[in-house]
Amino acid sequence: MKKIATLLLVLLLLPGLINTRAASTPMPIIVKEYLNATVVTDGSGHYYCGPWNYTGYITVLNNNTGETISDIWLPVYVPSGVSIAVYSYPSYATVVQGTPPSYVSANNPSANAYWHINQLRSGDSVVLKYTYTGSGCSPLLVNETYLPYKIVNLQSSTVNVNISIKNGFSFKLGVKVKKILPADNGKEGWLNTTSNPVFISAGTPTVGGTGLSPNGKELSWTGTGAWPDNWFFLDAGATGLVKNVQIQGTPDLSEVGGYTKKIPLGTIYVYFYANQTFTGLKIGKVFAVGNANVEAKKEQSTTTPSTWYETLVFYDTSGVFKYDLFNTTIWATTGNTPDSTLITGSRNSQQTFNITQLLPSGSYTYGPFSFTYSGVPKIWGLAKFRISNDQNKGWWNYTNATYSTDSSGNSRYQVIEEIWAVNGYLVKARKEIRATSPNNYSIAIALSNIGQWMSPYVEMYDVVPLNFAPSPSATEGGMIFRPLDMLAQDANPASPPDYSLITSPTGYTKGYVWKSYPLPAPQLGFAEYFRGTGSSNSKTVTVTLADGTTRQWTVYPVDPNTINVNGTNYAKKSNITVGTGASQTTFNVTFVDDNLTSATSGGYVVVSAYGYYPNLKKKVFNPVFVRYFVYGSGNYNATNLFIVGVDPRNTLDVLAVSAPEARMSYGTSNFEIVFVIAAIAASIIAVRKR
Amino acid sequence: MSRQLPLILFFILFLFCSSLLTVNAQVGPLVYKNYYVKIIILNDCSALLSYDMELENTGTVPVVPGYGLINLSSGKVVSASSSVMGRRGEAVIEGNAVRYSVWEVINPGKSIKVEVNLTVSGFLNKGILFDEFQATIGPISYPVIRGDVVVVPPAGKSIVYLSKSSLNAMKPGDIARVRGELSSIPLPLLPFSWYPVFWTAVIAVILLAFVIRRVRR
Repeated sequence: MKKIATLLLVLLLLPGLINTRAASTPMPIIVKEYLNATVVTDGSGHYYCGPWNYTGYITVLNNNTGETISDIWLPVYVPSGVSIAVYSYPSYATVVQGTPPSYVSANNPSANAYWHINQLRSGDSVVLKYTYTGSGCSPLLVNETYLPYKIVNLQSSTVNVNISIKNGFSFKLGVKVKKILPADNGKEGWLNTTSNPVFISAGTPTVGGTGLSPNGKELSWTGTGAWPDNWFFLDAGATGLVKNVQIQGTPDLSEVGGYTKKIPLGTIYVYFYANQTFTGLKIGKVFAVGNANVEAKKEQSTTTPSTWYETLVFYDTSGVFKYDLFNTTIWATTGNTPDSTLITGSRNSQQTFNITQLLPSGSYTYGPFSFTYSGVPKIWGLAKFRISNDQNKGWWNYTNATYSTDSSGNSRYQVIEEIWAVNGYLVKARKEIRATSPNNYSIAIALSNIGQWMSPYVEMYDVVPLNFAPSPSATEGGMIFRPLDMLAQDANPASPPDYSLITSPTGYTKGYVWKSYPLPAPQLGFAEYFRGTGSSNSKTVTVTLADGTTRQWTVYPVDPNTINVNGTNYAKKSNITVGTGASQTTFNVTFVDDNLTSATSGGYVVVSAYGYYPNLKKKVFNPVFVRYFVYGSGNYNATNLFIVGVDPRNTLDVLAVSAPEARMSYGTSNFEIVFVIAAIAASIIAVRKR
Repeated sequence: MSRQLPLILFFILFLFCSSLLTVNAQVGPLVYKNYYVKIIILNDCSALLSYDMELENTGTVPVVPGYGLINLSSGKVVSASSSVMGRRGEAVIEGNAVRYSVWEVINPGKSIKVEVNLTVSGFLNKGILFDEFQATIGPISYPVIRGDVVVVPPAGKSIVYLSKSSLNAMKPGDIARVRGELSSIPLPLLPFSWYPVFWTAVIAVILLAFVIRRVRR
C-alpha cells in the first residue's frame, strides 16, 4: 500500500578511527567497521527493512618503528555471528588463530579468539577481516513522514516533513544530519524554476538545532543547526525528531515520463559515531615483544667458596617500545644445558603484572640470590615481557577512539527519499467527529478530488463502532449525501437516509457504503464547519477554479438558508460563478446546516464546484459531503474511513488498498480421437491385408 | 509429437495473451495467508471452483478490501456464491468475472476468511476413454504464503494423470498450472498422459497381430 519509498543505501564507517594520534603510536591496533544497509520508508511513516551487514577490519601495524615486533598475540572478543579471517599480511609472516600461553589467556578472560603473528617488520601490517549479517532492521533507523504524502502534478504544494532517527544501538551515538533537496535544473520530476523545491521552514527539533542554507536547498540538523557543527547525541534507544520541516515545490512529471510516480524529495545524510564497535567486537590485552636483552650473572663468595650469587638483569634495548616485565626467573644447573640437574636453592622466580615497566634503554635487576654449590655452577636466566599498552610507546587500540572529523570518515547513512507525484485524480476524504451533546456525535465526511483530472466512480466506506448506533435509526441518523445527485446508487428512495449499501462487519455495529459519481477536477469548492452564523464566525477558504488557479473567499453562514461570500449573500442551492474564459467556474451552495441558527450554534456549509461527466451527460460536483448522527454509551472512538474501488495511489488521507483480484483460465484440446482413428485404420489395414 | 503440438500451441497462445492477464500488482499490506483452490469436476463437464482464501493485513493500519474479483480469461461462469467469515456474502456474475464483496475491517496483523464458489461450464474436454482438463491459476493481486490446488473427479471416474504447480509463495504476477486426465478405466496414476500410451499400445498390438499372422503364412 502506498509505498512511497525510498531507498537507501548506506555506507558507513566505523567507530574506531585512524586519527592523528594513531600516527604517533608505534604499534596501533585499529578497528574499522562499515555498515551496509537498505531501508525503505514511505511518506506515511512506514518503513521496510532490507538486508544489512557489517564489514570490519582489524589492522595490526608496526608503525615505521625501525624495529621488528615478534610473537604477537592478539586476543579478540568475537560476538556471536561474526567470523574473522586473515585479509592481508606480509609474505614472511605467519598469521594463525591458535591457543596462547596461559599468561595471555589469563589476562584476557573475555576473549574467545586469539590470533598469533610471529613477526611484523617495520612499516608492515596484518589485516584481519570480519563480517556480520544482520536480520530484521538495522539498529539505526531513519524515518520520515510527509503531510501530504502525495502531491499533484504542476501544482505548488507545501509538504510538511517530520524526520526521526532512532538509535537502536545499546550505546550513545553522536549524530549530524544533512538533508539536501533536488537541484533546480535537474530532471527528477520538479519544474525547472528557481528554488523549486525549496525548504521554507527548518522545523523544530527535539534535540540539537536545525538551520537552512542561504539558498534554502539544505537543512542541517546538528548541535546548533549550523554546518559544520558539533554533534547532537542520542542515548541508547533514544529517538531524535524534527517536526514540521516544510518543503515547497511544484512537480513536473513530464520530465520523468508523465505518469503518476514517485519523485525524489531529497537525500538525507546521517553522520554518526560511537565510542565502540557496532558489532560489540573488542580487542583484549595484546602481548608482543621487541628488542630486549637478558643477562645472567654469577659471583663466587670471596669468603665461602661454595657460596655463589646469581643475578638477572633485563635490558630494554628497543629505541621505541616501553615494556611490561612480568616474569623473571634465574637458576643454576650442574650441567651445560638449562634443563640439566638443578642446584638446590638456586631457582628464583617471580611472575606478576607488572614487575616493572621499562622505558627504552631502561633495565631491571633481579637478585642477587645466593646458593651453595661446591663445583662451578652454570647460571641461566629467563625474562618474560610484553610491549606496554601505551599510546606513544607501545600498542594502542583505536577501536574506542572517537577523535574524528567529517573528512576522516565518520559513519554516514544516506537516505534517498521520494514522494508520490500524482498525475490525474487524487481523492481525499476527511472525516470529522463532533460531540453534539453527551453520547451524541455528528459524523461528517467530505470527499474531494484535489487532482487535475476527473476521478472514476468512488466508493467510500465508514463503520460505526460497537455500543453506538445511528440515531434516529429510521433515517440512519439523519444520513444525508450532498449533492444527492452525486450518489450513484441510492439504496433508499427517501432522503434521509442516503447511502448505497449497509454492511455488517464483524466488530462494528454496522457499516455504510456511498458510491459517488466521478468527481470533477481541478475545480473544487469546500466543506467547512462554522461555529455559528454571522461575520464574527467567518472563515477564509480556498477554492480552485477550472484552470487550476485558486481564490481565497471569506465565508460565513447568515442563516440555515443563506451564506455570505466576500460580502454577497447567496441562498442555498444558488450558484456562484467566478472567473472568465478558461477559469470560469460555477459553484453551487450545496448545503447549509439546519442547525446554523445563531452565532453560537455550529454547523456545516458545503459549496461544490460544477463539472460535467460526458459519459452520462450529467453534471457532477466536487466535493461531496456526508453527514449522519450516532448515539451510544462511552466515548466514540474515531474509526477509519476507507476508499474502495480506486487505485490506492490516487487516494489521500484515507485508507485504500487495491481490490483482491485473481484470474483463471482453462481449456485444452483432446487429441485422443486421432489415436482412435489410427487404431481403427490399423485394424482395417490388418484385416484387408490378411 | 501429436501430444506436444497442442501444448505448444497453448503455450504460444498463453504468451500472446499474457500481457492481457496482468492484474493490479501494487504493493500493499494484504497477503493471502492461505489460498486454496478446489476444482470439483462434475459429470456434465462443468466444474465447481471453490476458492478458500485467508486475507491477512501485514500493514500498520486497518484496511477494507471492498470488492474482490475473479476473472475468467476463458470459459463461462454459470453460478457464483461467496461467504466472508462464514457469513453469506455478495457474489455477482459480471460477464466472465465474479465480483464478491468483502466489507470486513481487517486490522493490522489480523486476517479474515473468504470463500468464493463458482460453477463454470466446459471445464472438462471429453475424449473417448480419457477426458482432459487444464487450468491456469493466476496472476493473483496479492502474494500468497501458503496455497494449493486440489482436483476432485466426478463419480465413476478417477484421475489417471495429474500435473500441478504449487501455489505456495506465489507472488503477484505469477501463475500456476494444473493439468490432468480422467478415465473410467481403473488405471494407475502416472506422471504423464495416459491416452497416447494407451492407444499407441493398442495400435502396436493390432500391427503385431497382423505381422504374426503374415509370418505364419
